[in-house]
Amino acid sequence: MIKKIILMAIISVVSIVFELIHTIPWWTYLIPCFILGIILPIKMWNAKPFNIGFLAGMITWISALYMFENIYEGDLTLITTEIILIPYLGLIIITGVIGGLLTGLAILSGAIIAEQYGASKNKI
Amino acid sequence: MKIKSLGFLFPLITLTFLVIIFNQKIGMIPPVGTFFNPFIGAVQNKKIEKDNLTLDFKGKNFEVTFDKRMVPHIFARKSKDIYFAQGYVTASDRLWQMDFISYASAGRLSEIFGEVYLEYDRTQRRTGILWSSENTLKYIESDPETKKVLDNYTEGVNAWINQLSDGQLPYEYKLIGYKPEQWTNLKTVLVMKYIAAILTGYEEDYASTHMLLALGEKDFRMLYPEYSLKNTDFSEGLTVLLDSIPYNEYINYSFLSKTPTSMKSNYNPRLGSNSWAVSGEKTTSGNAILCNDPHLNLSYPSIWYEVQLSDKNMNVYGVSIPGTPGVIIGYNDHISWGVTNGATDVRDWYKVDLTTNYSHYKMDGVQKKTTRRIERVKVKGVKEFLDTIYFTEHGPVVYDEKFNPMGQMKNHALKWTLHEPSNEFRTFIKLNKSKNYEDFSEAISHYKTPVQNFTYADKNGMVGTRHQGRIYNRWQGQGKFILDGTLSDHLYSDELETFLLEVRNPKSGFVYSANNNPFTVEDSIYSHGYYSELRADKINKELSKEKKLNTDIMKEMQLDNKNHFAEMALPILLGIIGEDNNYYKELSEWDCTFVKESTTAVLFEDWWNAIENKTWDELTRYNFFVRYPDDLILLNMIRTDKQNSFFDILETSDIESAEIIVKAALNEVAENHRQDIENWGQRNTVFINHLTNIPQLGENHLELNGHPDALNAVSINFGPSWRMIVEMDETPVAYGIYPGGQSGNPASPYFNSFTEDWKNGKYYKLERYKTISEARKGATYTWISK
Repeated sequence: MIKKIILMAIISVVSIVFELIHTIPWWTYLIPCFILGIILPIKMWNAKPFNIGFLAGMITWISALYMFENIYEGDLTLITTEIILIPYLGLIIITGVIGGLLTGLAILSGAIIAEQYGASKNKI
Repeated sequence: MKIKSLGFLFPLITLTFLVIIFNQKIGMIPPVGTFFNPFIGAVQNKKIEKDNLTLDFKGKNFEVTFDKRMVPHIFARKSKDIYFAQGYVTASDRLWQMDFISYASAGRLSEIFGEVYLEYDRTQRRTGILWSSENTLKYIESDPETKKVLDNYTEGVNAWINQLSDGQLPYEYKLIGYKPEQWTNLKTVLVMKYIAAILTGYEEDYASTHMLLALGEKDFRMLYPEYSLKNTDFSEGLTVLLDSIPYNEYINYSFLSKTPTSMKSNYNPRLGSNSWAVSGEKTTSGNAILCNDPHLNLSYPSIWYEVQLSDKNMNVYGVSIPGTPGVIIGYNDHISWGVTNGATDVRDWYKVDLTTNYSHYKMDGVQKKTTRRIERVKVKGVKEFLDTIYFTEHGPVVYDEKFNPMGQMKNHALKWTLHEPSNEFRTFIKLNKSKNYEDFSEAISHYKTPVQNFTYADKNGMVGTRHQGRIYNRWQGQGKFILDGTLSDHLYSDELETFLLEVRNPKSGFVYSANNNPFTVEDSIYSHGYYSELRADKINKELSKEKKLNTDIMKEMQLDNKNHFAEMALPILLGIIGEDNNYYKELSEWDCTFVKESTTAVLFEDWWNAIENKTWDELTRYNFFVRYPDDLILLNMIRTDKQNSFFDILETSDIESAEIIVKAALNEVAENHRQDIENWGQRNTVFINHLTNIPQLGENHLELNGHPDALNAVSINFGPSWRMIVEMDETPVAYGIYPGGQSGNPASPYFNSFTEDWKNGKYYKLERYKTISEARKGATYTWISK
């Protein structure tokens, strides 16, 4: 359990660092996530790469949403939920799912490469 | 093994696919990867507080303080820094709005929204807005002083754009899914042309031409004359101008070959404004006072942005139009000025005789070559659309074989003063620095489009007004109807000297304008426009009273809800229905005020509408009909010509007179009035639309006082877009308010912070600081560039 939390924490921290750099395209953070999928000992620690990535991405995006919403003073409901006509809970869920899907897929892609690279090395 | 080693590709391809999908707008759904992304998405627009900033622009020295209403006070020594800072600061609050208007003006909305806007874009371009903006820019840039101002402004806007991160983009970009492009001087010109088009775009040439033929010249002149009012209580009726000169005889049924159908204008003829100035002799303080309230479409963000600009040559405060430099309506230490729309018709159609391939057109029997311009309309998601516009010497052929969505005006060329290059920025730059009437007069003398009435008051107690703009001398009726493009004598090029239309320090001690006809003398120069006499007459009447005036009285006047038409009409109508009528008492005790609570206002409004509907049944049967004759024309007929055949209702076998119509109309509406007590507030619901037309971002149901024929001309979606009163004391004292707020960010409380006070008729005292240290004391935030 602790190991899974460590994995997620690393993924989250790296994502946040890259997502806070506003001079690069927003999706750039997925590249370091992909690399993390390769180098982190996910399989070794008996974790499922997509699940770990999905959870880390979801938690990151939802907590970032929560944090920005609390430090800024404007009216969020007016600019989002009232206009795209989804309830606030829906906004949180959509945010979480998008963040989770993207990070999960990046970690998964990396992990598969690591596994296959490792496997072929064994064969040699 | 090979297949297995490529296994990672599956999630990777899915990921890439998702990133691409999440990065774009699909139908009405914004790009979810950016919009919902907490690091750059909508939640970032919750950041509304401005930080205190120290900016690092090489060689630019200025300081900006934002006061508690978020009005920027810009101080610099050099004028180049002032306009740079104005561009920078305006963009910080209103970037999306100014950018969007430049797209709308140029006919580029398809670039953002796709094919749904192609027809709109083509119409914009084919009416010559982009073409004329490009020509106008060349003309403007030939004046080095104006060019410098535009360059500095543009540089300032771009300085703001270039430091914006994705997260800081205005909300609308995120929602719609695009990014701001670099600002250019052309975009500044496009914003100006957009305003000019709104103010001069309305015209009835098509409907008038058909109406003239249908009614005959005698009746047409009776119903749609050029006129002015004889006196303010209407007891002497109207002066019909230039009544004796016949129209040109070219208009006949062979001239108009096609079966007419309706052609509704996208422009609003009722956009108006009030402005007046009283000299020191008429005020308790002995200072001149200037008042102005331009009535425009009400929108979020507001068309106005308050600003103070102070450098070594000027210290001006007022409202600016985001996207353009300088202050449009305002005051400085020496003078104050206001504007109202001139309403003179400057947009004419010529029926041209084109060859089938549009290469030539016939004039005076000779074939002349057309010129061509190819418009490249970028359309989101599909291939660029190429559109060819043909030009004759009159102007662009807007509707032709390939483009005719209106089903009308095919092969007609449009001549519009908006097409001609002019430099309006020069006027405002100079006005901002003017010290006296000579400066003012010089500043406005080059002003061309849209025609405006400029009102003036200064510290020495002097007042003045001038109907200023590019107006051509025309023969009687020229431009009121479709013109014959095959005859060179239907063209015109001789400009009217507008200083002739100036009133300066009149004996009465006041000047005014409210979209009224400035050509009041019976045999004056011919001019035609969509003038409105009522509010002007009301101002004249109020200011003529023998009493000393002050700013509080001026506020009351701007907020006056008395419908001046009702004031004129009620005695005449009551005289007809007689004291025995059940509603006589209610109506005779009513003070003609259109306030929210009034139910009698609704009764009167409905009554008058019913009188109109019954009288003008002859006109509405024509499918090219667009507008009833003016209210005053009908009232004058009721007063003096009760047996006029227009009062006869076509459907009945009896012959009705004005008396019968007036009584029947009241009976009809009184029945509803008794059953359904609706007050004026419920009727006069006002919309303030956001430019995206997203209802949640606007005000959808404001119940307000006012009427288009009252000085407080609030109606449906237009009204006093800025109310300003300036007393020209040693240090001028000024009040003002507009609906909306300084911020363009819908999440910000400053987005609509003025609306409630505007609704309730409040004013803010305008703070024009003398020095930067004074400004710092009132500052909420400060931006400094060293």
